[in-house]
Amino acid sequence: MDSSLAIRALMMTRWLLVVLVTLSSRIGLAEIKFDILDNCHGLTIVYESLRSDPTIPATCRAPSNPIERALASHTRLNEAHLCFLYSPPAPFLSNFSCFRSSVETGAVLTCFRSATLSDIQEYKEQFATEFANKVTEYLAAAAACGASNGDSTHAQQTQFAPFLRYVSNFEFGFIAGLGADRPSSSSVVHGYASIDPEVEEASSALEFVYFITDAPKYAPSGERRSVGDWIITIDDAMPADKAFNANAKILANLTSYSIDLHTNRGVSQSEKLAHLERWQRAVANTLEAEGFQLLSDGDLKAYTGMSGKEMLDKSTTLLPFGSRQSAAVKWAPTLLVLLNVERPRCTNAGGVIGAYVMTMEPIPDVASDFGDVSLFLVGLGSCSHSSNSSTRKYFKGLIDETTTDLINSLRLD
Amino acid sequence: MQVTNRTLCLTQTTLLAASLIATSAVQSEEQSRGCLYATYVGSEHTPVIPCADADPLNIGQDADVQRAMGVLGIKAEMIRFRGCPHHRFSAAQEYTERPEDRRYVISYPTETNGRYLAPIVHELGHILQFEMEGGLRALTEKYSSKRIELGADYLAGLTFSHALHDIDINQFQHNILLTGVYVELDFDAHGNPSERGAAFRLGYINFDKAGPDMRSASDHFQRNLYGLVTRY
Repeated sequence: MDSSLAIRALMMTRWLLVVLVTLSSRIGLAEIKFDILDNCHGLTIVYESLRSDPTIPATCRAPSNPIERALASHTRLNEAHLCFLYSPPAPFLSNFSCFRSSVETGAVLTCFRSATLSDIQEYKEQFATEFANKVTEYLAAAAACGASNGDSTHAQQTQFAPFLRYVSNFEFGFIAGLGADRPSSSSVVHGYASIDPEVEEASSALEFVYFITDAPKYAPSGERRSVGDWIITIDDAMPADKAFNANAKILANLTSYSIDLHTNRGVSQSEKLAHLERWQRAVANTLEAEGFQLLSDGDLKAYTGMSGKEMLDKSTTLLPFGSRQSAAVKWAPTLLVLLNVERPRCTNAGGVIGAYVMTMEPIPDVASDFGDVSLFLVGLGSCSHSSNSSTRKYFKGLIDETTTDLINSLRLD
Repeated sequence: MQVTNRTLCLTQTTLLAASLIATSAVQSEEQSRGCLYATYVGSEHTPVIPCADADPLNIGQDADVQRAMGVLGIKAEMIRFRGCPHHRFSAAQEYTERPEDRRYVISYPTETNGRYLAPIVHELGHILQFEMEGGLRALTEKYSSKRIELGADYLAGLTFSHALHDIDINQFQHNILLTGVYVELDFDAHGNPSERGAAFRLGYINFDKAGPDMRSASDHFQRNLYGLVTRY
């Protein structure tokens, strides 16, 4: 072979190798898509249709893929509350499974399709070098859409589609406000989530699009009271009570006391936990003074088959997968369970009043947060009838006394 | 762009190390770290990268920058701006004869194409942090890099809310220099994109109704909000 030809062949080979390496590196890039929030026409179609008709469709299809089936099974909701759509509401969502879910005001649409966890991991690892520019352009394009209010940014896990938490955990996403107002009561989130490995036959991750329109304005719940340096927020948890009493065959009442310190006193996490345990005991003392009997861990295990810690662990496993993965707050390890078999009147007919006194640990690195004490009262047997007004009255009296004693206990701290 | 910044930072560190070896009698105060410029500059203390002491983009005269300084309580005489090609945005403490006479320099890249306001406001947040803690060293001894950086993002959000409400917040939210990364070293951590966005928006939306006292707000962030930003 002519030497110049050999050199040319060698150069071509090298060139080809460079091209192949370049191509393969492009091919190796994570398959993260940036084609939802910049689809202005599609966003407008969905936003306007949700606003004009916020009701859930009358006809829904059965869940048809592993993630849909897992969603239906984990949420245990019927079609009136979770409705899989026969077709997506706009062409740009044509490869997605979409469902509507019931909300008190406004409308919600959630769509998802399979994705790969390794792509999510690569996205995070290569974000600075490969994706940051694309993301910046994507957010700018989203803000420029007519349906958007011009405000777009990276999404937080608290903005993840609530029902998808049952099967997946938020990894990252982008959010754009919809409408004209700032802040807006409507938004669209596009992102990715890792799927619960226990969801059988499902992909390792999903890509999601979550629309919410005309959401109610956030308002903190509970009544705030100042007690010296402390602020106690007493939440009667009415929505939770309502939901619980609608589904269970017992009478239940949850009251939560969230405790904060509003001075700059430096208190370690272990000191906070000691405070929390004292307040938990104070609540139990009030109940004992009312005739409740505190069950030992042995008694509890004998009656229920579970110790207090096992009960708390079990209750954690009942949380949606995504909430378990990213929960910022967790139960403190001690659960106090008390029973009253002598009061009120319904106990004469074999009924029992149970009281669970639980605590949520303070959020680490939040100096003012001292955690929560919760009192969960339940009427069992003949005390379970929701029409039993004397039991309800008894609950109210117990809660009033507990609140007073807890506030007195705070005054001493 | 991120690569460029990291390369620049590495270059700065290398030059800093070289100059330290060459002038062993001259002590720098800190190791290089992120957008906190890391070493005292001026006088006989270590210059890091040769750069004319000038403000070619007249950032110090920018009305929006002055409004931001006003709400952050930073006096004009405490600070100078220095623009140099290929520099990164950074805030540093200047050498002064008397330690209590604290003065600062904010460096910026001259190639910013006018999109400098949000990074400058972030750096001004660092100046307030220096002032509150008694200088760079005290600040970095008290808080981790991530706490300091997210704290500056929060202060930037508050500043946009209180003094720059006519400026588009996407100047911060869509700025690639402020976007954050998912994988970073602790000593130079700034937070991931979600955390940086959350810190800025907590300041901007200002749920806590923090007043114009930026010092109290900064303290509130470190005590109570940092834990929320990094967990939610």
